Amino acid sequence: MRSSATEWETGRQQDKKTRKHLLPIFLSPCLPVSLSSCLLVIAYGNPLRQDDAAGLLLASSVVEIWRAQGIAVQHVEVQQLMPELVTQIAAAEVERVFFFDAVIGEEESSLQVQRVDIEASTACLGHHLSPAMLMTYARELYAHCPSAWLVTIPGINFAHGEGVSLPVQRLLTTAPTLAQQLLDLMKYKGGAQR
Amino acid sequence: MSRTVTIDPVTRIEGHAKITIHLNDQGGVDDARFHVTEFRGFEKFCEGRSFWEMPGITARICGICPVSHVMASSKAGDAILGVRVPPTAVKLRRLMNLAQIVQSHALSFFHLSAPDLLLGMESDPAQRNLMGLIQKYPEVARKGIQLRQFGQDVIRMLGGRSVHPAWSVPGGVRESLSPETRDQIRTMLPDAFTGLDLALKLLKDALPNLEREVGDYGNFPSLFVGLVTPEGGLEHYDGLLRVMDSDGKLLEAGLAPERFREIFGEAVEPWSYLKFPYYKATNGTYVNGSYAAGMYRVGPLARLNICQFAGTPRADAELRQFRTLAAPGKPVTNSFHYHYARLIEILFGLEKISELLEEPTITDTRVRSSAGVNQLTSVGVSEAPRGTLFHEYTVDENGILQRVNLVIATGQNNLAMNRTVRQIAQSYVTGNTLNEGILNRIEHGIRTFDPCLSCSTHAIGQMPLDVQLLNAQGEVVDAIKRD
Repeated sequence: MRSSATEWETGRQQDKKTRKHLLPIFLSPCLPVSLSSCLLVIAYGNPLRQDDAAGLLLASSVVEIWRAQGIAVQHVEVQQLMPELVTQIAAAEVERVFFFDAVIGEEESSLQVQRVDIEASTACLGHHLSPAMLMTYARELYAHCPSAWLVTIPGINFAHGEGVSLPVQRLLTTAPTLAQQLLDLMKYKGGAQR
Repeated sequence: MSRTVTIDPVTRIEGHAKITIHLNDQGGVDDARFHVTEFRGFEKFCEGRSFWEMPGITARICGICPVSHVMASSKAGDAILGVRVPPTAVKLRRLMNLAQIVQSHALSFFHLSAPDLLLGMESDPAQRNLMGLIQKYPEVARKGIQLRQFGQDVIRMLGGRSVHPAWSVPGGVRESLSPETRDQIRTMLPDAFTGLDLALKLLKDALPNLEREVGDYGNFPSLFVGLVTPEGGLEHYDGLLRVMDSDGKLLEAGLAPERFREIFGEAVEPWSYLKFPYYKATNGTYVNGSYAAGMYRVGPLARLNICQFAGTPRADAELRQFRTLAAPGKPVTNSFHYHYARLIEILFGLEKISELLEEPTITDTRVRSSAGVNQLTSVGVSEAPRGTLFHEYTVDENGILQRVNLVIATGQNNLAMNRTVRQIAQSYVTGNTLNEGILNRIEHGIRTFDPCLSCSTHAIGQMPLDVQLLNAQGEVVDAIKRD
C-alpha cells in the first residue's frame, strides 16, 4: 500500500539532515518571551463536580506561593489533559513539570506526590491522556522531556455542584508545606523573575 | 446456546460505553447494543441558576467541545433577552465556533481514528494507538497536534482561554477582536492548511484498502439532519433546520430551529442512559409504528449531505468529490465517510476563518447588546463538531432557570450508532471465533461518529466497565475487563 505517511516521514528525515527540523511551531503566546528556565504547572479537573476541583485549587495555591518567592511559573488549568499540552511541556524553557489532579479517596487520605514514570507509559491506552503519556509524547515528538511529578489530592464527593468537601478543605491548607516540599524534591533553587 | 459478547469499555472515544452482542444458537448475530452507562445530571443542577451563568456552566459539561455549549447557551440567552446580536459579534462567534470545529475534528482524525486508518484495523493492539502512530509516523502526529492547537489557539486568542472561554454571553461577546490578534491568526493559517492537506492525502490513500470497512461500518439508509443557510449552504452557527431522507428527498427544507420539538421526539430504553431522539411522523407519532424508524444522523456526514454547497472554493471542490461516493442526487449513507466529511469541514472552517478575518468590520468594537428578560422560554441551536446541539431553557421573570433540557448531538446519533454496531458485528462475528481485531472494528464503527459521551451524559471521567458475555437467558457466562 502506498503510504503518504511514509513519504511524509521520509521528507522530514531529509529535512532533519539539513537541520531544518523545527521545534513545535505553535508555542502558546502565554509562554514567556524570555528563555530563562521556569516551572510548568498543569492542573486539571471539573470545578462543577465538587471535589474534582481540588487539584485546580491546590495548584493555584502552590503557584501563588512560588511566584511570591520570585520563581518563574507557567500555570495551565484544563478540564482534562489534551495532546497540545505537549508543545508547552516540550518548550525549551520548561525545566520541571508538575501535574495536579484530584483522585477518589477517603476522608483520612493524604496528598501523594509521585514521579511521572515515562518508561511505563508505552502500554496501549484509550482516549484518556495521562501525565506519563504526555511526557512520552514530548520525548518522542520533540526530543525534550523535563522531569515531571504528579500531585494527587484525594476527594470524597464528585457529584454535580460547586465547592469542595471538608477533607479537601483541610488538605488545601497544607499548600505552603507542599510548595516547599516540591522545591526540596527537585532541589530547585529558583529561576528568573517573570 | 446463545451468547452475548460485550466490549467494555469502548476505547478512543470521549466518555465511556459498553457494547453487547447477542449471538443466536447458530453463532450468528441477532442483535447488538451500544450502552451508555454514565448518568446525566447537568439539567437538574442548573435549575435555580440564572440564565446568564449558563454559558459558563454548560461549557463545563465537556473538556473537548465546550464552545458548542457556549454558543447554544448564548443563543438561548439571546432569545430570552429578545435582542439582535451586533453583526460583528455574530462573526466573532462564528469564528470561534469554526475554530472549535477544526480542533475537535483534528483530534478525532489524528488521535482517535488515524491509528486504525494508518496502522491497520487488526494490527497489534499494543501499538494501535497514538503512541504507535507517534513511533511510526512522528511527523503525522506533530501535524495533528499542530492542527488541533491552531483551533485551540484561535479560541484562546478570542476568549482568553482555550477551554471554557468566558467570552460569548447572552447579547453578544465580551471582547472584540483587535487588529493585532487578527493579524496573528492570519499568520497561523498556512501551517494549519498544511496539516489538513496531509490528513486529506492520508485518508484518500488509505481508502482503497478499506473498501470492506466502508461498506460495513454503518452503511444503511437513514434521515439526515442539520442546519443550513437560508440559501441551502453549509452552516454551523445559525440558519434553518433541514431533514433529508436517504433518497435525497427533503422532508423539511428549512424549519426555524426553535420549532424542533414539532418534528423530533425522545425515547428511552432501560439499558442505556443515553436517550434516543427520533424524527416524528407528520401526525406526531412514530414513523411506521416504531420510533426506531425515525432514526436520523447528525454531524459532518449529515451536514454535507443536506447542504447544496459549502460556500468556500476548496471545500466545494472536495464536496463535489464527496458526492461521488453516492449515486447522483443521493446522500452518502456510509458512516465510514464521516472521516472524510470531517476533513472537509476542517477545510471549510479554515477557509471561512480566512474570509472572516478579511471582513473590514471584524475588528469593530460594538459587540454586545443589552436588555432584560423579555421571553420566558427559549431555544438556542448550534452545530457542534458532532452534530446539532439544542439548549432549551425556561426562566421566570427574574431570569432564574425553571427547566433546562439539552439535546446533544451524540444522543441524536444513538440509534444510528446502535445500528452500526449490529451491522459490523453481523459482518465480522462468525460462529465462536472472536479476536481483538473484530472488537476493534466494532469500536471503530462507533468512533466514526466521534461520539462525545461526556457531553451526552455529562460524565466526570473514567469509569472501569466490565465485558459481559450473556446467554439467551441473560445469564453472564463470561466476563472481560479492559483497563
